[in-house]
Amino acid sequence: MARKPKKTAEKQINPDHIADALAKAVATGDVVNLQFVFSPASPARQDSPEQFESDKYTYLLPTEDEAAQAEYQTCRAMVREPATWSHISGELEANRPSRIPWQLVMRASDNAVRMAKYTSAAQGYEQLRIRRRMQSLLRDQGNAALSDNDLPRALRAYAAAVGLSYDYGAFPEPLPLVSNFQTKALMLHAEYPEASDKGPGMLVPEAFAAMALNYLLDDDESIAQILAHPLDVQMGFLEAWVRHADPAWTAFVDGYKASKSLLSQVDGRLLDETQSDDLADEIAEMTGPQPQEIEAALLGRTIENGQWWQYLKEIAYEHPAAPLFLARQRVGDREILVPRHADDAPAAKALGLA
Amino acid sequence: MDYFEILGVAPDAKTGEIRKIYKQRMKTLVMEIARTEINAARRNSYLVEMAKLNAALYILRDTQLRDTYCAERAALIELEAAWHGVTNDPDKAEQCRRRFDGALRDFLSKYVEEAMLAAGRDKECIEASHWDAAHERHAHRLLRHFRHMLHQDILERLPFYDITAPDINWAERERFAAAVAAGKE
Repeated sequence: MARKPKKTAEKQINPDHIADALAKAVATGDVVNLQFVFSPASPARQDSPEQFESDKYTYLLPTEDEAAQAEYQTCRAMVREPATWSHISGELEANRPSRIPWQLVMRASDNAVRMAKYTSAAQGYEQLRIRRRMQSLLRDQGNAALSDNDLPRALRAYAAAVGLSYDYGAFPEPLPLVSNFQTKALMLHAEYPEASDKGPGMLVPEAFAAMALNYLLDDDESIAQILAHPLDVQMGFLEAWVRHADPAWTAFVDGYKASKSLLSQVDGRLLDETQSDDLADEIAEMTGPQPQEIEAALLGRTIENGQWWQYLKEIAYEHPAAPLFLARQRVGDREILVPRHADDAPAAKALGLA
Repeated sequence: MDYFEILGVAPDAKTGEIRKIYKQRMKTLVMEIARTEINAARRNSYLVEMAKLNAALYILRDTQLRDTYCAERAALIELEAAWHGVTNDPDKAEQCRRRFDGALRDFLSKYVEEAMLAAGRDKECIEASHWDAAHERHAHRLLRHFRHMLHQDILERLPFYDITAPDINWAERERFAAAVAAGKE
């Protein structure tokens, strides 16, 4: 039996607030807010104690600037269109879960894609049951752009396609696929490189491109499409993707170069140590750069008593692509993180690391 | 999830026939696994295939279990048909949706996840598939994901209940995707 709604007689709902809240949610690509307006606890419902006038719901309503925008005006006209408005009013009165007009969900999802709010877009497309097909359409655009060697177009298309991989419908089990680079970076460096020519950055370019794309992108089909293109296209895309995903990449490049310089000094001293143990070497060891300063230079700050994996997680969080050019190195009784890439690695050169 | 279809037997197949076909299918699968280079994706796919065959034998060879499975599956199909029949009445559709959703979750938990794991502990299945504790550990996560994907596939064919039924213009969608790629959006 359906629960009988408790009507609060004194509650007055301004229909303009409902239209404003819906128009704002659609115009800003906020699918969660759009669903909330129709939810049982919504201030738009007569049987809910919540009020639009309450401070806690000011976020639902547009500011003056937002209300003046063309997209907002279009969305408001869409909400107020007689057939749609009549449906909305009926759904807010009904004592059952609401059916949101699909046109509003589509518009909100499209706006979310435009604003790169891919999680929200994925949720809306999932409701419309077109998420996977939208991904496929965007991948096709990306693939065609790569064939035309149009990297900016490919980047935009694949960014949207990969962004829509977030399967909101899968929540809460299994957990939705998200770019958890802090964990993925640890997996990338799970095995200790026994020789100095080992490590992700030392792979031959073909293997490096495949490994890097698998690490950076969360969409197997996009990865397969990109890997079907010639190596120079793959590398070009990889460079563009790294710079797109990490606007602060140049800051990492500075730290990386500093850490390389420190590494060469520490390396030289360690080699000398095996040959002599006079006082000058001892002084140089005490006053010269310490091995742990290398990982601090990579991260840009020190972690107190930090282990290599702590530095790796922090670096991966701030610069997702950085772990591709790092390696673990044992120094004395501890391990540190050091910069490492092949001398002729095209990706390292393109990204300013070489 | 039709175990008769998975095993490739008729709904009135005798237990002896079910055992015979199960053994043939499992032998083929085990030989295929032995001659294939295994990677993570193939391992997952073979494990699910193996679990499906094991569960098919486990359920269909036991008359009582088989009858219960058939009855619950038929009831589920009936509930889905009933829901499709009342889509014009939102209140009745919502009642049907709730009943169907609960029944579907129970069915998938019982006959996909639990039955597959229980089959992996069955002596006859272990003998044919060499299923062991390591398989079970890995299968826990994998079967949960498989059940979820199955659930998602079923949901896609059901009536829309949280939004009005959309009328998608795919030509317009293609234009939108092209505009996103071109940066004109």
